[in-house]
Amino acid sequence: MDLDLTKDELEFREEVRDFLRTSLPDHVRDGAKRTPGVFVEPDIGLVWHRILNDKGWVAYHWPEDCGGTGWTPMQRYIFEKECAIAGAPALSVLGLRLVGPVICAFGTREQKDRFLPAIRAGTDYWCQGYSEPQSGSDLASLRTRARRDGEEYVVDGSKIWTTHAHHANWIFCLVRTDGEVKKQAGISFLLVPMDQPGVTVTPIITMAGDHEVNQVFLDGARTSVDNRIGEEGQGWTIAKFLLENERGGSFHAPRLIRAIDHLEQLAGVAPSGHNGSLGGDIQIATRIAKLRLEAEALETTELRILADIAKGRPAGPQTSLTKLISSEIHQRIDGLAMDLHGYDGLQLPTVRPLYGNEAPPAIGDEDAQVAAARYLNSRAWTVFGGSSEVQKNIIAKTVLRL
Amino acid sequence: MNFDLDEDQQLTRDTIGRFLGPVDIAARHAMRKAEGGYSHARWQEIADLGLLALAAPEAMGGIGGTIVDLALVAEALGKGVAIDPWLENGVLPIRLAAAASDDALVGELVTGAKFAAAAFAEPARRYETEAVTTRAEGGHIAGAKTFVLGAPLADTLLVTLAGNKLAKVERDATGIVRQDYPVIDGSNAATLDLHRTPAEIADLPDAKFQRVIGDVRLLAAAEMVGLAQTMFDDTLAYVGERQQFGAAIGSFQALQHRLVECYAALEQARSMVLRTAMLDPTTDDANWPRLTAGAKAFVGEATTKIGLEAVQMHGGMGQTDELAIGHALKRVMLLDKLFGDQDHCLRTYARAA
Repeated sequence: MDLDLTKDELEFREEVRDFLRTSLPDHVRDGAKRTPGVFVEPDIGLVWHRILNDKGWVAYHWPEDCGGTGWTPMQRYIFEKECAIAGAPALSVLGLRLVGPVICAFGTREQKDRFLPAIRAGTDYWCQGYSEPQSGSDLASLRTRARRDGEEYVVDGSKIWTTHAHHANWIFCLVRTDGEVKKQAGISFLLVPMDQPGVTVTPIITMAGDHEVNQVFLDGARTSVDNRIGEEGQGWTIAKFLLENERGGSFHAPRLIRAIDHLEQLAGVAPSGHNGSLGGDIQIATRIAKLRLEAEALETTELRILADIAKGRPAGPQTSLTKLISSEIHQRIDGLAMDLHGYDGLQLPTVRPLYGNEAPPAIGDEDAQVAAARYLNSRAWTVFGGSSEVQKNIIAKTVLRL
Repeated sequence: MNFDLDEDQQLTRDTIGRFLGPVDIAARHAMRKAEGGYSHARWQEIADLGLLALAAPEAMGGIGGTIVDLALVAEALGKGVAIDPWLENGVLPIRLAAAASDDALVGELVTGAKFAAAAFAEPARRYETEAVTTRAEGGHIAGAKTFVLGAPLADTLLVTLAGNKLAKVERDATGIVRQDYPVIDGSNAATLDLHRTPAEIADLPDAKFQRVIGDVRLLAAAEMVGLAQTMFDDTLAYVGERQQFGAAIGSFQALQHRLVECYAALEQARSMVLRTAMLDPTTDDANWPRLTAGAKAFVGEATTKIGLEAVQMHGGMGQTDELAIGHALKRVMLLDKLFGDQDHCLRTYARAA
């Protein structure tokens, strides 16, 4: 047992570092830093997406025959860690991490050829039609229906919490194709083009004032039968495959540790108001220390899962564990960040974006401007991709066998 | 011993409840989009209800309410998730003016004739309340202030100065560079840079200033209790209605136990506010800010927890700006830091113990 990197892995790390040093544009890094939402907007994200695609690294976690890199799990980890350290934006997961791997695993040759290159190139922008107003944690109760009409499906229903639907030209949907069988067995997985009269997108504004999510109304929306992934009734199996990728598709700890490093630097220069810096304040120092211990333990938990995957053992419900832990660390980091800024942490700008020439001036330290918005948006970590309550149910049932 | 409301207290609470009505999110958004995020017309209604006079001594033309009376008002405003800055632009300036013996200004403030903002925080000094960089220079003042709540709408600015002074500055006085910015509860604040700004300067004895800080801390805690009550009530109603897995989510024990913890926290917070308010007459000026700091830290922790649980139990809906719970949580977050966050207030309470 050891934590050492091999010589090849060390060389790979140098290659990644060189690439990030020369290829990550300053305005992209700055945009990511000043984005209070969960994902960066396409004006920042797609720039970085295309740079990665030009390098051949954008779909690094896909199988090689689908355009992946063939990296080992350890190489993926190194890449993600270096990206986190460099301040690269977290790209939208919807195409690359959610529907992409589904098409790789369940799609036909024709579907792979049609959809995968456009995801890699960033020319198709995807959103996810899973949750519905009456079906959140109880996803299998979903009511959106699709009926066959010749060589097309006609889809009626509504999807909600649809991240970046207002930017997307495709939505992947769980739909009910059979109302007679057990609820999980009647679900299918459809790809539906957004640019048609039967699809309407209405914004949902978050507590922080951000527009990231939407409600999508499907009212006689049409899609070709060729755009169904897998067989009719296979949707729930695909849905679970996708959710495991959503929860555990990437490593959480590197970004959390970088955020904690950043907090520590900030505390080191932030005035305590009475005597020296906040970094010397025992209450603040203790909170940072506890967060660091949690995040370091999580990093090792993630590496243990990675080692299992590398040896061909299934990861499965472990992704629920890391999702549960990382969400809560994330929220605590954002809470501490806000506290470090004192009164300045209470500013909540009403305009977006907070980067570029039109951005309003920050009050105090520039990080203070996004602190409150980030704290509020951070509440979503314990809700999306299955709430913490759902993750605990999954762990209780499938790991603890309760 | 008696915890019952008297007739006047009951009447005031009912009046506030009727004035605020049910939380109207669309109306809130519209008000926040207006210039300054609030309106003078609505402020006049607050004055006409007598809520400002209640905070002023009888000798200066007020009603001279006790801190218990005021805490009940704050709680009722919190319960209705009021958009009105009664605490920061009503009680605080009125009591500062009274502490500086400015009877004329108190009179103008309680009738709603003037709207004032208090400039007590200085950049890079976190929650320290002793003015250091802002000072009097003859009949002028100079320095910098931040987090001046309500400044964009204020006719008069009350600026604390080094050496236990308070400056009264008119809105359009020369030498003020004001930068307005929105804060988390949707209201507007400003930073002030003051360069040879003409002002009326009065003594603000430290003991009196400390008393005012203590009052605001206690009333912030009382408002948080009201806000938490509404977040709790709304959540209790929601878990009874929201169906998942073929049952109301409130039937799940995992949520029931957490709601019971919220209920316990709420009752404890309410007790802390009442206890501290009733200690006011027997607490000296030096000890009052300390007792109220402890109360505010305690209530801040309890009500923040209730707010975060309310958001979590509302799931996706809880993330939106369309529910009263979100607006209430954001107000709690502001009050939790007003005159010191939990760390600061706990330290204040512990140090003097």
